[in-house]
Amino acid sequence: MALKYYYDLMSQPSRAIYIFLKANKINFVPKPVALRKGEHFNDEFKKLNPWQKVPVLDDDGFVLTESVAMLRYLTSKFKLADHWYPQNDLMKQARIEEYLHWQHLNTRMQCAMVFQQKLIMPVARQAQIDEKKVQRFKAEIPKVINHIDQYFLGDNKFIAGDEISVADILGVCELMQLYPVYEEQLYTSNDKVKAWMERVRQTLNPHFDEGSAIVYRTRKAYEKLGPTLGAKL
Amino acid sequence: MSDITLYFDLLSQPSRAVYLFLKAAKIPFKENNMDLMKEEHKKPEYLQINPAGQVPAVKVGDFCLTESAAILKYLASLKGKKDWNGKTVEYEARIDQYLSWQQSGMRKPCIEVFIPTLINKITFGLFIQKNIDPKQAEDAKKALEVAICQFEDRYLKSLTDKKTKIKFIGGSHISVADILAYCELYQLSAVGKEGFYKKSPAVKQWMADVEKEIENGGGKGTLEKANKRLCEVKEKFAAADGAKK
Repeated sequence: MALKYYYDLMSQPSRAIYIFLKANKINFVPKPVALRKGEHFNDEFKKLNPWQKVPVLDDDGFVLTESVAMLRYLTSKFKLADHWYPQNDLMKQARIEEYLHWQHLNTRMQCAMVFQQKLIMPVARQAQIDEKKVQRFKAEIPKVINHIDQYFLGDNKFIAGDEISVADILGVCELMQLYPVYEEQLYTSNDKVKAWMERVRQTLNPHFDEGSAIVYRTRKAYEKLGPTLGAKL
Repeated sequence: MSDITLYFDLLSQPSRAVYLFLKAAKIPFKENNMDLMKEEHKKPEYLQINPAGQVPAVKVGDFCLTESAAILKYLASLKGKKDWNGKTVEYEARIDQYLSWQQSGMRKPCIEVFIPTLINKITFGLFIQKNIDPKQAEDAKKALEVAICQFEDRYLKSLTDKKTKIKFIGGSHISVADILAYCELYQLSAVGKEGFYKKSPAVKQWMADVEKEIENGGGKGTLEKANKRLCEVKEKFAAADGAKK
């Protein structure tokens, strides 16, 4: 039975796994779940994942949630190139794991909350952007960028060294969530992080751009939509 | 002499998890016991090890590592205890899923019950007692009950058959995820909230099984030593009756 992948490309971890699957030519049955239409609340989806979140992997009845777990599972299961998640270099592997666990409450949380406050919440509530909340989350991002710069990248081309790994894909997808709401200066202002993001994109293209198409489209739409919500672009 | 130095404070759940794992798996290590109350984690010497200023951290030779999930997996692999990371590809994935989910799925709901109750107890008898907001307490209680239910349902059940119970998150073999989960839940006992995890027979049994493995590996008294600081907190503030179960 084929690998089924449930995702919404507007969701950062969904995007990371999608790009990863495509870049590694892993066959899968795409199962898009439109979060904006509430499809994740369907009974059928709830049976698959009681947490009602994307992404979800169903590998012949073995159901897996959590993008961090999926990236590692796919690397093992399909015996992908070692640089994605090194098996023999335990220090590189540990550094990747360290990023994957640190990012939940850092990169992911802050960037997701800025995006949520600048687009999802005002649209859902049909209200103006709560600037105080946006500023609160934005204020944490320079620390995140600095830690990625100084601690995780250092002099390396990628988080684990000279080659791309699963940590880089997830990292870049989370940071990119700032792009559709015109907050990319938070990462473009750091030369090292900006260069790293572009390096990851180039390494994964054309799959990166294919997986991120909705991000680019949303940014275009935000040009008109943003100001109606009170955003200053 | 061990090449592993662990920087930890046994009041911190993830610190305790790494400490107990090393003991249970019989991995020798040097202890660098820190006191968060004395802000030792903010001192320049420690910031060299972990610039984020949090515990736990490990130093193995010149290699420094933070994040308890990463530390647990690394040490298990490094010291030939890979079974603790999962005996099959599927169990490895299930353990990874827990280690990722637990930040918001288990740790957060536990903390949201633990911290307000602790503050309420600490300030008991003081002029300005910090009372627990009843609505917040009710929301936190519900969220934790849901989390523990989800934990039992998704992590203590077989990989493909959702009805069959399994002994540990790692299946028949205890895993790093079990130790982390155990420490997170046990923290509730310090503020008299052990009822949350004792309610479900399956979770109660699982905790007993984890404790047995820890004592088997680390020797009798391992848990008593590890949980001592927490017990002191419990005894110190036992007089407070501000918290409602």
